[in-house]
Amino acid sequence: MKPENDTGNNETTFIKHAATRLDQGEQQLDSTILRQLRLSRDAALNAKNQHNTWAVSAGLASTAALVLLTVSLWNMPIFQNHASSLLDDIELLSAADDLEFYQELEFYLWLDEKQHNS
Amino acid sequence: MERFLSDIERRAYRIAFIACGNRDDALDIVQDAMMKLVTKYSDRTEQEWPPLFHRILQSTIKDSYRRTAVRNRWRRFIGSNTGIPCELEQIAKSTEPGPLQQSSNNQTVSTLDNALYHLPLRQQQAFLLRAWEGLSVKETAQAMSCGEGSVKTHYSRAIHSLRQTLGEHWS
Repeated sequence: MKPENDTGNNETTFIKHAATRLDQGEQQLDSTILRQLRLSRDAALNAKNQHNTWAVSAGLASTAALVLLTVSLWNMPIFQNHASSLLDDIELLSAADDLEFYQELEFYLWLDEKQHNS
Repeated sequence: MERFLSDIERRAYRIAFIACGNRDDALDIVQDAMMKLVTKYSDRTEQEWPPLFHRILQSTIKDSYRRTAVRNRWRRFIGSNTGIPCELEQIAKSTEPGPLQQSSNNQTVSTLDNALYHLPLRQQQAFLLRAWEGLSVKETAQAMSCGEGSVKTHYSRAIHSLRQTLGEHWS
């Protein structure tokens, strides 16, 4: 058991020794590298802001494109013709009056004219 | 996020430098890792940042390793010897203080760095993450994208190799 413990202790000591040396290496980095690292950090943080700005711009652009497409389609002649009949249909469907009134509309107009003349 | 990056950047640089043996490549690796963390994961909680950053860093190092290997294969294929020599290899061959000695200004540190550099990448990663960063086996496995058994094997082999290499320096 003792040799195994010795091996384990030696290994632990070795690892601590190595970690200490690696820490020293980190502390002894020269000013050029530290400056470069600071610049890299700033670039990364700025990239995030640019990324967000880009995302907002893309969202606005796609919304604008959608609005433009809708307006263009609405102004096309084929949509214009159908739009007027569509509006008439909507008016008919949403009217509170009985549908028969509209079916007999010509008769009522004729009756009104007749009464007016007499 | 800025505080986290400022706390971790020097260690990240050392890990990258030991892996690739070149200052510029190491700085590129650290910047790439920072960019990826900030743009993709800044909305995560602060506790999630360290494991995420280590995973990104290790992946970026692996990518850099692959790119360098492909570049070197092409250079050998076309018979070109104009590639940029590895700073750490230059140090190992030279008796003069090289860039690594200049940056660390400590012979013992340089000796350890050189020994780590010559380990296989997976062993090197396992050793640095476990022994230096103090990550658990599970965290190391997540960072290295491998199983816990592999981490134990790589770590054990790394310690064995390093003790053999550095024994005479550290006895």
